[in-house]
Amino acid sequence: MAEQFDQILSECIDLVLQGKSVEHCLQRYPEHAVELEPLLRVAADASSAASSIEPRPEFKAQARYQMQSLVQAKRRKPQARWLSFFDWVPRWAAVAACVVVVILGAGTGVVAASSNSLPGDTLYSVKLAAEEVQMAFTFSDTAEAELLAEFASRRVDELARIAEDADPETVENLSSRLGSTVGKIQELAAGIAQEPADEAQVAELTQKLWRRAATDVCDLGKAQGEAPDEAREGIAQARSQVVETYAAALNALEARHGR
Amino acid sequence: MQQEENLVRLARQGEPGAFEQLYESYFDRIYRYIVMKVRNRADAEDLTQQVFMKAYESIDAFRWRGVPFAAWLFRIAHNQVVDHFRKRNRENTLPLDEAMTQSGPDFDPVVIAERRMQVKQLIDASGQLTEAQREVIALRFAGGLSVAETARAMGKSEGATKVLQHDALAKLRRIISFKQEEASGRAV
Repeated sequence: MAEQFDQILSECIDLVLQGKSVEHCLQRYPEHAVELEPLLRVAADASSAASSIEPRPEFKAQARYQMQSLVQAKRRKPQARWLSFFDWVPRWAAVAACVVVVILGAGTGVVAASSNSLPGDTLYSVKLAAEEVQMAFTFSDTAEAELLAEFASRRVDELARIAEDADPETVENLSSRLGSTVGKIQELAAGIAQEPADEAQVAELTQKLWRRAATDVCDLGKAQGEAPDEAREGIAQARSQVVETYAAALNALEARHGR
Repeated sequence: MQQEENLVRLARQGEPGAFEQLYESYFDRIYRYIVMKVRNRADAEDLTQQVFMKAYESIDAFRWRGVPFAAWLFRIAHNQVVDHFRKRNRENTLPLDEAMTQSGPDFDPVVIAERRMQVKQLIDASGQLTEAQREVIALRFAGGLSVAETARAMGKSEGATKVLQHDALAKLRRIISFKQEEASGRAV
């Protein structure tokens, strides 16, 4: 019996959600009208209240633009075919970077320890220096773009880790460093798109950048949610910049691929 | 449903416009569902964007197999909200943001005020439901899901979902009636 009533209630709620009146439902099930009516009135009120919740038009427009940018960037996502010689360069460069830092006296332990450091930590400058050295030993545009994307992800990870306790200045500095890194990726992508290059290598780079962009944007969204109110705006701006810059970089590479 | 299944298949193949159509169909519903859960516009906006980013990122892994796309998408939204509260280490403590209902120039201020009251009443009353009851109300009335979709999104049977829906509405009614009596008592 109760099961039958739950079924009738459910059908009537569906009708209310479709815009039918409570009276219309009661006429269909007069034998249950007394029990149905108060529940359907609450359902109708809940439906009416919920449907009046609407996103701000400017938010909707901005969200649509950001989504479209990423969708367009991925649309002609190329398939990776094989790894070329240059795909090994970043690994080799990373090894070289460590060797150089060791020679300079920092020590492997220090470099390893610095990998988890955050802005404000003593070892953070070692982390950035090691990245500079890695870059100096990377000789192709595609390898540089990949490495920069890896560094950009590190900055995003740092933002996410400091989000809860971050002061606006630290967020601003880190966001600015992130913006500068993704800006360099865009410049390199524009260059790669203009120059003759190995198609497989470009395809592989495009795919990697797409993955980095999607992950970084999601992580920044989470970081934004955790940040105190005063730091949120900075992270939101960084996220918009990452979306737009990556979208521009990927569009350039995709346009080349589609040529 | 067939049309949506088609759109999902095309979106997975990277067909221009397919994901955008799904996005447009669900954007407002996901936003409403999230507002009901987090009670705050800024958080709801961030989370809504994250839901669609996540959905786009993982649409290749989506298989229809009896699970409707809506249930899958709202499951992502639910997980994002849970994750959000886990990281913030608090739940529903923020004041309800008044700016979340439509307030364009064409709207009568009295109507807007009434709607805001209505939304506030619903969200406040929902806050006194159990987690599962709150979920069924948010999915059915804010998300606009059918019982079958709600059941799949919550990982319950349709029968159990109908019982939950009945209990939730009955409790909502009691809470709202009590509040109204309390308010009229104060007025006298």
